[in-house]
Parts: sequence; C-alpha cells; structure tokens
Amino acid sequence: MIVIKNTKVLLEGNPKAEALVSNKPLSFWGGVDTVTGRILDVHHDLCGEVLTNKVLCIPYDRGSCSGSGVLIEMVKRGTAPAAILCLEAEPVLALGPLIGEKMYGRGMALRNISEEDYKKIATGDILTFKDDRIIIEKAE
Amino acid sequence: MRLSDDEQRMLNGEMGKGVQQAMEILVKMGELFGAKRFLPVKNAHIDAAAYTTIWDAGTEFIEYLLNNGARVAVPTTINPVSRDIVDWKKLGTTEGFAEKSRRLEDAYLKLGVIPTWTCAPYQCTNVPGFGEVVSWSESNAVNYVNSVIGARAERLPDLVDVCCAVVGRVPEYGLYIEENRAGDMLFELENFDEEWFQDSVDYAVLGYLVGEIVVNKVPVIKGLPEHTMPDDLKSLSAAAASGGAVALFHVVGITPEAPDLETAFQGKKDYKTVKITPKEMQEMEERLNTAKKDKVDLVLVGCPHLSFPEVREIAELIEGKQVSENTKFWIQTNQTVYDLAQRAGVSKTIEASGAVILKDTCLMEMECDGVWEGQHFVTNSGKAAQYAPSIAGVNITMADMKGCVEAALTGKKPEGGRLK
Repeated sequence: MIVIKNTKVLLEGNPKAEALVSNKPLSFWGGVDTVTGRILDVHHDLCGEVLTNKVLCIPYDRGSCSGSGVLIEMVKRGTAPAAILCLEAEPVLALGPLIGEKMYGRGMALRNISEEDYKKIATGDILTFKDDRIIIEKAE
Repeated sequence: MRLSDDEQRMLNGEMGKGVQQAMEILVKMGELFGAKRFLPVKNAHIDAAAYTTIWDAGTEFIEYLLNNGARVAVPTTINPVSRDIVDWKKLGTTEGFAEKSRRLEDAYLKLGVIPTWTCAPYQCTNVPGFGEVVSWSESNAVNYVNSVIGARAERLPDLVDVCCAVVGRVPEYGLYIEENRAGDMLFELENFDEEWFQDSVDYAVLGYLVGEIVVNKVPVIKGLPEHTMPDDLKSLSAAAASGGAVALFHVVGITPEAPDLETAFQGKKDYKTVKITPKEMQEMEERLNTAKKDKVDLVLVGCPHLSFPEVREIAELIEGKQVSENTKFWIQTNQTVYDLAQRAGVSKTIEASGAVILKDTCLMEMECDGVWEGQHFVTNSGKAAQYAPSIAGVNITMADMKGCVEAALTGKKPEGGRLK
C-alpha cells in the first residue's frame, strides 16, 4: 500500500475506484463519448477504454475548450469518471463537473499530483481518495 | 479573490439569480486557478454554441441563466451551431436534431449574442485590438487572438465563456498575466526549401507537431517565411490547439509579441530548443494520414471556417469543372463570408461544380450517428485530422488546397501524396 500526500484538491469528493493511466494528454470533446463513457480518440493509447467510474490519470488535458461541455453532460448522465488525476489540470477539466455539481448534485473528484507520485500509479491499481491524500493498492 | 463593490453585489444576487450563478462559478474558478481579481472585458466570444459540444446539460445551464434574468453584458460573438440554419434539411439533419439546435440558438439570441455562428470571428466580425483583454473560448480562436493579434485571452471552458459574457469580467489568471506570455520552448525550422509553407496545410502539420511536443506551454517558432498569411496562422493556431493545448505561440519576426527572439522569451535564456526539419514534418503527416484506400468519399475544408480569400481560391481552382459523382466536397464557412462570396459571384461558381458550401456549422458538430463510419476524408485541416476520425469514424488524407480540389474532382487521393 502506497500513500500519496499533499495532492492539490481542485474538486472535492473521496471515491474509491480503479485507475486508468496514460502518459498522453486527452481532449474530452472529440475524444470521449458522453453516452458510453468510451475514449474515441484514435491517436490516444487509451482508445476504446471506458472511463466511467474509473480514476482517469492523464498528465494534462488538451484540445477543445468544449471538454467542460462534454464533462457536464457525462455528470448528468452518470457516465463521468469517478475522478481525474493530472500533473496540471486546466479549467476545461474542472469547470464542467463543478457546474454539474451545482445543477445535478453530483460531480467528479479532480486532483493535481507531482510527477514523482504520478509514476507510482498503474492501470488496474485501486485508488482510495481521502481529502488531499490518495491510497494506492497495487493490482495483483 | 478581491471583489469590487459591483462584483460583490452580483455575487449577493442583487442583479438577479442568473448573474449570481455566473459570478459564483467565476469566483470559484478564480480561487482554484490563483486569480486575485477580475479584469473587465468589453468583448466576448462564446464557444458553447453547438448542441454536440454541450448537449442537454449545457442547454439546461444556458436556459437557467436566461430564465433567471441574465443577458450578455458586452458585445458577444458566438461559434457555429449544430446545423446549417438555412439548408439543414439538404444536408441530412433530422427534424428532431434540428430542434435541439434551434432550442439552443433561441436561448442565445434571447441572451443577446451577435449571431455570427463562426469559429473564426477574428477574420470577419470580431477583431480585438493589441493588448485588449477579452473573454474568449474556442481553442483555435483563443490561440489566434492571443498569438496573431496580441489580445489577452485564455482557454476559457465552455459555459464559463457564457458566465464571463454575462458579468463582463474574467478572472485574472494564466495568459492574462504578462510574464506568463513569455516563450517556453524554441522550435527552429531547418532545411526547408521554397516549396514548403506555400499552403496552409504545412502550417497545420507544423502546428500539430509543435502542439504535441509543447502541450500547454508557449512555443516560439523561428524560420517561417515572411509571406506567411493570417490564413496560414489560423491553420497553425487550430492544429496546435488540437495536437496540444497551445493558447499562445510566437513566430519570430511575424507575430506582434515576437519582433525578435529576446522579446519573445521576455529575456529568458534557459529554454529548450527543438529542431524541426522536413523529416519531422513528413513523419507527423504520416501519423495524421490514417487512410489506406484510394477512393475519396468526402473532401472537407473550412476547419476553422474559411475566409473570403480562401473561398475565392477554391472558386478559381474549380471554375467550369465538376465534382466527381462518387465524392462530396464540403466547404465550411459562416453566413458573413457567404454573403461576400455571393456578392463577388464566387459562391455561384463553386456551387455550379456540385460542391456544397455549409454556413454557420461544421461537419464535426452536426448530427453524426455513424453516417460517415469507415469513409475516407481528404482535408487540409490539422484540427479536422485530429477530431474527424474520433467523432465520425473516418480515415484521413491531408492535402493542400489544390490537392483537396483535385481529390473532389477525381474522387481519388491526390497525386504525389504529402502536401505536394
């Protein structure tokens, strides 16, 4: 069990969920399907994966400013990730779920972590969020 | 955040619940991203226009603001919508889907936007001044106004763009702060002969490549030719904001904050240098070219929306010729440019060839349920090359404008591959 401390809490919420990890930035608009939660970006290594109720780990977001529009719809539909972990999330990732929470009473957790901590997480690990800490249970 | 008296009154709900909601969201965003105050804006551009960008949830949010008394506080232009407002039936949009777009268009008109319905407002209807603080969204447009015009903008998320237009303010963060506008990484172009950078497609490939490498930092590009045009930089802006999250770039000797290298980096010396040669450009283009077959199903130009000179170039290339009966040629622009094209007689020339000019919309923002799946698109746009395969399930060949027209006329992949 590994504990990551002092994460930067952008959006609150303490889910426990499985990690889906990439080292490539992702655009939510034109990259993720709001209905199925599936990653559609053919140039992305997670193409085909479903991120619903997962902890999506991407270093940065990129591309369209409409990522917030896609994420608020995913929050409404219940297809959003449980959380997103980044090295540096920009407002396009944060504001859709933030407005979604105001409108629908449910959101998505969002944290920034250091590059060193990012390397400790692999796809399949179970992550438990406790405010500014994250507990990693490594996959078997 | 430190608020003025007016801002505090907005937050208290004295200007209505819609304005209060917008202000609450912006204060929260400001706190999360380190803003200490708001900057007033006199110019806004909204990205969140197409139903396929903000869906039902976003529509409900816009209607919430509207029904609670909010209106745009400053002149506000807006992005394309999810249908050609005039010719949607001809383009195969269904009644049910058109209704979803119409609902959002109506809400925005009541909110008070200027109905430009374009992703390239900076070329026809909304041209800010150098140094002007604006609240803009739409990744290509933010990149363009920051880089090519030298206005002060950031990549505002959809819906936040609407909040800013409603309160006439933007949180001061990121590229609104002068020192953050300094270059972070130098891209030096080497060994390009005069055949390169004669068409905007080269700028698209370069933009995508730079965007992938620099992600969300500020690239400085050295070595582009003096004849580089605004349309070329539009192409570069869109691609760099698709391959990465570039919101500002400098081109030495061409863009206004980069008269020389030292100014572009604001005197910083500790930057990394990346060399770009024809080899890197060709490899980048090969990765974007996912198409394997020769037959072309659709040629797509106008991502971002074409300017009048680009529309006229197509007319000159296609005059008196016919688009192949097995191929569609879709040309995307806005009603403003279309009006100019009609006055100049060039829209007639283009339409006589069988090509279709789409107004106020974009293939990737239209109803798209599997209709293009597996098809082969030819395009000159790096942004379309990124998103069309994912959204529409198509394969891509990149080509310059001549190659695009040639593909439309022959129905086949343009001769010679690459950009030439």
